[in-house]
Amino acid sequence: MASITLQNVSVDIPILDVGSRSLKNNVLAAVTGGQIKPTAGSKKVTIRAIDDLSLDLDHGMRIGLIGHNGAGKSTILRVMAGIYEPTGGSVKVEGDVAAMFDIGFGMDPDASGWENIILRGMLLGYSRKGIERRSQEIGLSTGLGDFLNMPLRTYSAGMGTRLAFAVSTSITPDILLIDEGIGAGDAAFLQHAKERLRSFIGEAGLLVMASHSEELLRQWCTTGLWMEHGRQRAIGPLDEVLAAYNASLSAPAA
Amino acid sequence: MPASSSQRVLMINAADAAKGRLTTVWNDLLEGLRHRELWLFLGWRDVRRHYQRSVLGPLWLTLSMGIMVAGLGVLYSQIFKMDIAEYLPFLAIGFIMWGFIGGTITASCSVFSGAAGSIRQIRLPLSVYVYQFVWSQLIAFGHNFIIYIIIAVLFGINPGFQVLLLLPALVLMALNGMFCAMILGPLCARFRDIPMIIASIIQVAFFMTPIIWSASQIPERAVFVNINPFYHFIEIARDPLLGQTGSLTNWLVCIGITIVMGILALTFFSRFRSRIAYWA
Repeated sequence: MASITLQNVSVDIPILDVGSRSLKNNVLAAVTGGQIKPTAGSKKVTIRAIDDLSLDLDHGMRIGLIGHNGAGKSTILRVMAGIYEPTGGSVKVEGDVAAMFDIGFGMDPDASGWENIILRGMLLGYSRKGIERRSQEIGLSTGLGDFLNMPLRTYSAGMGTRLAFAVSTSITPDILLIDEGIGAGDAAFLQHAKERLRSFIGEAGLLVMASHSEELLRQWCTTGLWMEHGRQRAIGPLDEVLAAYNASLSAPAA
Repeated sequence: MPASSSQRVLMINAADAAKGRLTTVWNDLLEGLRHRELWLFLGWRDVRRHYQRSVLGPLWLTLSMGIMVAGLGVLYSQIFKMDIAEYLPFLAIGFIMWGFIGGTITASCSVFSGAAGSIRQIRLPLSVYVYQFVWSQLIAFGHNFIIYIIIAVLFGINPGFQVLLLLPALVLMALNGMFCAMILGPLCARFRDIPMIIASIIQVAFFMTPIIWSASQIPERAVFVNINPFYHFIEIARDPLLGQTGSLTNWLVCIGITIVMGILALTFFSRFRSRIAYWA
C-alpha cells in the first residue's frame, strides 16, 4: 500500500546568489564583523518554501496540486520524492516512487535513441538486463521507428519527449509524482500518451500532480490541494478547490 | 508500522537528523554500493562521452599523455644530463600517477555541482555520484597506464613481484579520491570559487612534487620534499613499477593521510549531505 505522510514539514531553501556563493565574501564578512553584509541577525537569505505542512495521503488518492508560481508545489513534490530533505518535521513515504519532473533529464544528446533508453532506464532503477529485455518493447511504443538509431540531438523536441515518456512510463511505481504538464507532443502522441497514462496512473497507488492546466488536473485528479505561500490553503474534492482557487484569482481584480 | 519486505519505505525526520547523521551516511554509502551496476555504467559513459565522435575515443587520453611524456622526457634528460633510459620511465610513471592524483582532486570539485541535473530529478544515494566519479578516474588512469606498458617493453623494465605493491597503492589513492569528493564535492557546490583555488594549488603542487625532477637531486632540501603529501603517494605508486618498494615512511604517511582524510570525509559528508540537493 502506498502512502505519504508529512508531519509539520518545513523547507528552507537557501538563496545562493553570486555574493553568498563566493568564499571571499564569507571570509570578509567574518573578519570584518559583518560590515560588508549589514543585514542584522541571519547571514544568509533563505526562502521558506514549505511552512509547517502536514498531509496524510493514502492509497488510491489522486492529488492535484494547485497554486501560484512559488507556492511550493514543486518543492513539496521534491520532498515527497526524497530529493529535498526537509529542514523541519518528518516525512514518511511508503512504496516505490517515480518522479517525473523534467522530462528531458538523463538523456544524452549524442547517444542514439536505443542507448538513451538504456541510459534513462538504468537511472530510473532498471537493472542492465532488465532494461535490455524491455528496450524493444519500449522502442516500439515510442513510434519513432528508424529514428531510434539516430543520435538524440537530431530529434525534434516532441520526439525527445516521446522517448523519455515511453521509458518513464514503462515502470510501475506505487507512487507517481508529476510536475507541470507533460509538455510537447503532437495530437496523435497525446492521444497515445493518454492511453499509456491511463494504465500508468491507473496502476499507481497514489498520484500527486502539480499543474497550472485545469484540464489536465480535471482529467487525472480527484482531490485538490491548494497551496499558498508554502502552506495548505485548502484540500478537498477537486471541483470545489478549483472553484475556490479561481474565485480568489478573480476576487482582487473585481 | 512495518512495511512488507518488498516495499521501500522512506523516512526522514529533521529532528532525528542531527544524531543519526553518521548512520545515514553509512547507509548512503552502502546503498550506493548496491547501485554499482548504475555507476559502473555511468562512469564508463563519462569517459567515453568526452571523446564521442572522435576516431580514437578515450585512447586520446593515452596519446596526449604519451606525446607529453615523450617530449618532456627527451628535453629534460638533456637539461638534467641524465640517461634517457633511466629518466624517461621515471618521468612517465610520475606523470601517469600525477594525472590520477591531480586530476582526481581537481575533478572532485564538480562531483555534485556537475550532477545537479540528476540530483534534483531522481532520488539516488549521493554516494552513487562519488563512486561513479572515482570509477571514471580509474578508467582514465587505466588508459594512461598503457604508456607504462609500452615504456616497460621499450626499455626492458622488469619490476618483478614488487609490481604487486601497485595494487595497495592504487587502493589508497582511490580511497583518498573518494574522500576528496566527499569533502570538496559539497564544499565546491556551495562556494563556487573553491574549484579555482583548488586548481591553482594543484598546479603549484605539481612543480613542488618530484615528478619532473627527482628527490635525490636535492638531498639538502629533503624536508621540503618530505612534508609534501603528494610526494609519498607518488613514491608508493612509482616505486613498484620500477622494481622498488617505496620506503616504510612513504607507506606509513600515506596510510596515515588516508585515515585522517576518511575521518574528515565522513564527518563533513554527514554534516552536509542533506544540503547537497539544495546547493547543487
